Amino acid sequence: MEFIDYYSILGLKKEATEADIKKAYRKLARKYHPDLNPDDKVAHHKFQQINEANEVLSDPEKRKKYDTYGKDWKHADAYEKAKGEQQGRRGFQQGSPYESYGGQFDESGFSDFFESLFGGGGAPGAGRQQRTSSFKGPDYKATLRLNLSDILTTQKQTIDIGDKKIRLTIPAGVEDGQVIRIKGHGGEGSNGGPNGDLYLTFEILNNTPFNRVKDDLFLNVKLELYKALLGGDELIETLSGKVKLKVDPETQNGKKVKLKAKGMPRYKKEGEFGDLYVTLEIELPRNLTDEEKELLRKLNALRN
Amino acid sequence: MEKTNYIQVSQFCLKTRMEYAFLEALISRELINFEREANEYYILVDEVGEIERFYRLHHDLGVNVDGLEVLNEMLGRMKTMEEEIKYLRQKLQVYE
Repeated sequence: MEFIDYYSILGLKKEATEADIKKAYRKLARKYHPDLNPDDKVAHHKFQQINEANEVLSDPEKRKKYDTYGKDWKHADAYEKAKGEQQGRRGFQQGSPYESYGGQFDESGFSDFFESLFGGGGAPGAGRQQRTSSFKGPDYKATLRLNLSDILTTQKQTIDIGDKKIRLTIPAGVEDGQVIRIKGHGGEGSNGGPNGDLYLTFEILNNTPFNRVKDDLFLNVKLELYKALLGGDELIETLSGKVKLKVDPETQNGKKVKLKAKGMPRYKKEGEFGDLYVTLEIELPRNLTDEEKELLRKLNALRN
Repeated sequence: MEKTNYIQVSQFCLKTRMEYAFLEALISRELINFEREANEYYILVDEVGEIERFYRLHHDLGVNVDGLEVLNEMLGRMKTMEEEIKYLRQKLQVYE
């Protein structure tokens, strides 16, 4: 267990006043508050530390204990022994259950170091145990990785969340990074309160040759020089199989062709699809034979 | 109004010990959706997460309700911009 210097977390000296602590906490909380930094795990962790430091240093009784035992934390056992006598005196304010973000973190949300000094019941969340009101359980977050080729049709999938199995319907066309809320599949509520929710983030791995931008797909196709010059048919790969594309004579390099409704299925819009944009890249022949070179010279002479 | 989806604000405050005035201020600024029936405000069950978020910002950061309104607007714009950046990044990949 590592000693945590709460003063340095808040950027304070040991002689900091209550006002200094409040000011430093507010300043850092504004920067790292999870509601202002959604999905930022670093900010989340940092705020957890700031919250813990503030919890201790803003409470004169706890600050005194921390100052006494903090650096010499290995003596916490002796403190624990003495703590028994003090129980009943100690306690946190019985305010609103939404008092701070502390209760939103995993487990107690406080470090082992904090708990060795103040016990597991020190966090704001612990105050809830003594109340009779019911509270919603914590929300859980999880990530589900899927291949792009797996989301072309709506499918059902069973996922394991801890010891629970959830059967999910994954609509076709779900986006990379999209988050869905599964109501009631988070942590258990307390005192009969509702369960928290599960927030599932989709991570879509592109296992296809296409680039995806929302519902549209983009594909670069190499086209032979002669086909570009004289025209012809080109087989184009799409998600629903190959389609024949008519190439006009004298097609220019970089020409874009839109294949309507050959893109991704639109999320929750059955039967609707995005488009596929094909960029034609004309490939110049290599390793020309003498005869080819001669013919090209003749062609060049004809043009100029 | 389907009653099962709504919570009476006074009951919500009683259970959560959140100040009624705070909820009233959120309602008056239309920061949360509500219904009014027989002189009582009702909030949607689905709005509870949003109310918790506002309360945390209010309590943890000392932001008053006027500030919450501005913050909410700015966070909304930030989200829109983040989505736009994501879209532009995807689009850029097409040309890389």
